[in-house]
Amino acid sequence: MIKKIADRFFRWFCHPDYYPDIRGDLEEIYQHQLLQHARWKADLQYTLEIALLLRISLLRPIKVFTLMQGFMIRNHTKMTLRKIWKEKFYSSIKIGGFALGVAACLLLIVFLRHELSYDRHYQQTDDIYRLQMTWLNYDNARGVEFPAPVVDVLRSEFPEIETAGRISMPVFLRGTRNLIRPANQQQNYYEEGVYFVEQEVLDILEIPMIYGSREHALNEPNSIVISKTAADKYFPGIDPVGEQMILNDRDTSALTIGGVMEDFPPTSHLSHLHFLFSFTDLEFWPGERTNWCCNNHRLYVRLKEGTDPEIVNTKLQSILTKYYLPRMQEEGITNPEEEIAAMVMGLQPVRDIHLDAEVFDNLPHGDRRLLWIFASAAFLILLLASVNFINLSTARFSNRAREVGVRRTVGAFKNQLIGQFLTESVIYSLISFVLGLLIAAILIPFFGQIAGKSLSIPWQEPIFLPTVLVASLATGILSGLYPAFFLSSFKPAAVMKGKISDGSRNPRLRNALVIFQFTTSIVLLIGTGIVFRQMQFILNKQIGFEKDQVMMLQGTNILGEKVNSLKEELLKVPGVENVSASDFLPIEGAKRNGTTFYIDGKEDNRVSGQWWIIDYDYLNTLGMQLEQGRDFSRDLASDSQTVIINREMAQQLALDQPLNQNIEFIGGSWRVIGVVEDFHFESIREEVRPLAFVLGNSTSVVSIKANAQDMPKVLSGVKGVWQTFAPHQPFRYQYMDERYALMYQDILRSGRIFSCFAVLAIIIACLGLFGLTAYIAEQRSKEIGIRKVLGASVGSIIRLVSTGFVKLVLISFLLAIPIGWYIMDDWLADFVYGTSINVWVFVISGVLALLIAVVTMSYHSLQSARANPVESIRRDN
Amino acid sequence: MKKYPLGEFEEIVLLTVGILYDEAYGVAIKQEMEVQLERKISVGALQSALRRMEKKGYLSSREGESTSLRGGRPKRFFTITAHGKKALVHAKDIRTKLWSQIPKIALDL
Repeated sequence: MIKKIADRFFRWFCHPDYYPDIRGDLEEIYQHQLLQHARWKADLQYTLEIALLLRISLLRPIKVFTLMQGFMIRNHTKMTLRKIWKEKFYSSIKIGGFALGVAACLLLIVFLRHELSYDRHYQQTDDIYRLQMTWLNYDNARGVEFPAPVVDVLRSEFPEIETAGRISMPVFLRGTRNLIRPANQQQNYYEEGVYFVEQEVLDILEIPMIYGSREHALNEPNSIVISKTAADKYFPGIDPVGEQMILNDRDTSALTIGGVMEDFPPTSHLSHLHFLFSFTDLEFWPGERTNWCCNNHRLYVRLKEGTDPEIVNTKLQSILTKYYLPRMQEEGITNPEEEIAAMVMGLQPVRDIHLDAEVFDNLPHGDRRLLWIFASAAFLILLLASVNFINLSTARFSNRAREVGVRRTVGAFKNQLIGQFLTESVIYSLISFVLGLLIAAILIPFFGQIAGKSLSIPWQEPIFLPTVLVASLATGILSGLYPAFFLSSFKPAAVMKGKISDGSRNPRLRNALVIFQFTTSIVLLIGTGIVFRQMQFILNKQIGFEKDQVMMLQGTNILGEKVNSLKEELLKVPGVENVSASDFLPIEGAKRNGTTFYIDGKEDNRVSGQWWIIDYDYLNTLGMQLEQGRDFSRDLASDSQTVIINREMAQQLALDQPLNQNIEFIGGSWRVIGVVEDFHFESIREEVRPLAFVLGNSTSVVSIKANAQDMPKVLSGVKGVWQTFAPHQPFRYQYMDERYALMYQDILRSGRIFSCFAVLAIIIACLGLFGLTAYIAEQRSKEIGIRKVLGASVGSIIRLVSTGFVKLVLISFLLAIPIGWYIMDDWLADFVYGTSINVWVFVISGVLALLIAVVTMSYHSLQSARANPVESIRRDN
Repeated sequence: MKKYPLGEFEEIVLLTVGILYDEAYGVAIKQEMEVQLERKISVGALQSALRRMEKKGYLSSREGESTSLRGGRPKRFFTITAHGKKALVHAKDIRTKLWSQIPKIALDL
């Protein structure tokens, strides 16, 4: 293969007189090489020889003809520019459509580039990994949290691992306990992006420091590294190393700043980190450092350069048998060997993290599938734009036919004509690319907002402009090829006699292209429709609890026991109906836990689920419905050992009569007093899982259910109460419905992006249609004139001009139905609770496309139908 | 203008063609040179030298037989022309002249 290509290249540049025998020599040497070396080596040697043969004395002589072509380019350029100027209308349609397509394509490519560039900025990117655990028994679910002592095992038993370090993040709403202030100030600020980080991680992630040293910034207990942004906020203009900060008002243990790091680049999966607390001598509870019970730590490792991660992956399994197994046996889990066999520990390359949305790590991720969709959309739109170009160029061929005839008669070669038309299309393409770049540069901030990323056009990238240039040349040549060959193939004699002047000749290709354009547009419209329907479906679905007019007040744990009096005070605010304190909430990112449930005597049916700690007012505040039994009661002291379960839990435990049954979990026996209807507490993409409620204190969040027309007034009332209770604490709240909508932001985002491109596709297709009708109307102006003279009505003439295209749009619609259905059916399959594909979406998309097409066409058909017939008939020719 | 323009590499190629006499075609010259000079020669370097010297008139060539080993392509055999011989002699004379003028002590290292 390589040899063949090299050969062809050689034959192309070599002087034809020298070619046969040199080629013979090469062959002989090659055969000789084959006897001694592997084929690829011989091929390589061969190619090298050919590259070394590229010498001036052996080159094919440059022909005069090629030089002449070179001279013609100036002439072609001039002709093209004149033409653009002369036919402003058609040129602007051609260029405008093209430029729009290019702009859209560029935006998408910038987006793709951004998504693909995550975590590639480290010097040793290929050696940096995050540890992950796969549970084969649970749909291959993958997690990244491990017990603390794993890190010591990695350090002592894995010589392949150069460095290993722990990170831990407080999970709830990205860390609720993070009030922070400089030690000499009173006002607290709420900060997200607070992580516990071991010193080693600074080194693994190659974090660049502005102040302090990377080697020991986090060595001391209670030291902290802050980002540049944070440093500028709290210590503007000074080197803050050695300054102190207070976390969550714990004045007794002030934190000392050990260093300031550069902000994480936006293309890091940890880009939201701003405060890194030292892990040195820190335990979340006594004994944690050596306890294998609880998964609270993420582990990052750097392998020794060039180590095969597979070797480490295999070795990692020994941790399971050596440390996990004894622990499980201790806990009395049945069949621990089986459990262990279904667990796989492994390394995840750091550069894969961003696009791996399946792994459960509470970090924002990109969607690989979406990237594919976007890449194909980019390609499609550019294709649509080129199709416009081809269509308009060939449709107007009769205008060019005479030019071609004259040129050929005067002595132009066919090649030269092809050259002329190609030059023309390349010039069109270049102009469009420049325009497209401008449009993209203007639109990119808006697009960035829609996509939720900070995007910019990579002007500073040295390969960017050359790539754009090459792309524009290639598009120009590709979209110019068909018109060029088509136009240059006219027979001069026939053309000069005027035999080919009917623009409707061979419209088959043109029709096919129009159909292609409209099919794409309609499919995109259908896609948009269904994405938005699904979004509506999710937002309006009966989710089993009331999310409207619920306010979540955060950071209330700071009040300790005073939470109860806060609740009472809040109830006095007019409009507030109910108040409940619990940080287990049915929205993504809220506090979660997990354990196994079983019924005494039926130990083999173990159900894994969560147990949420709530208060007496929880069910009422969130409007959850009891199916059987009762709510917790303040009057019954015995309720501290009772539990309310959801229906799914009852079903999975196979309880027909759940009331007053006892369920075993977290080392106790709990009596069921009530069953709530299932409600969605995770994304609607997933099914409802088993859940239990118990009474207790877990009071980081207070939920306030209001029933008032005037929410701002309620809000200010709540704020007033908060400030009397916690004067120096920031007032943080969120509305639950907003927070809920946020869970589906990615769908909303893809919906928006989808609709943008649907609109673009329609615009481009219609631009083409606009040009085509204009042309047809122009072509048939004489016919229309005669028809009018003979008494045709305006309506019948409009019909005459547009019927053909309306038919094409209808055919496109028919084609778009199965394609759209197939694609969107696939998309919806991802949701457990998906909307149905509605016929109306299709009908509306089709009618919309048709309507837009008719409106587009009506301008010119009306114009020609209304024109004075004398004008068109009078003209000779 | 030099009387007999001849580069050093060209000179070696010309000499090798002389050594091989009737058997001097591309691969043979290449192999012989590689043995004599103890280094690798690329086909490109060799061929461009050959063609240049053919143009200068130092070499003449004729087409030879073709073998299946060569993919059915002919060999091209080179022979030194009278003009080429003069160029070689000229180059050699100049060298001898230069050698003879070096004082003995300068090479007594």
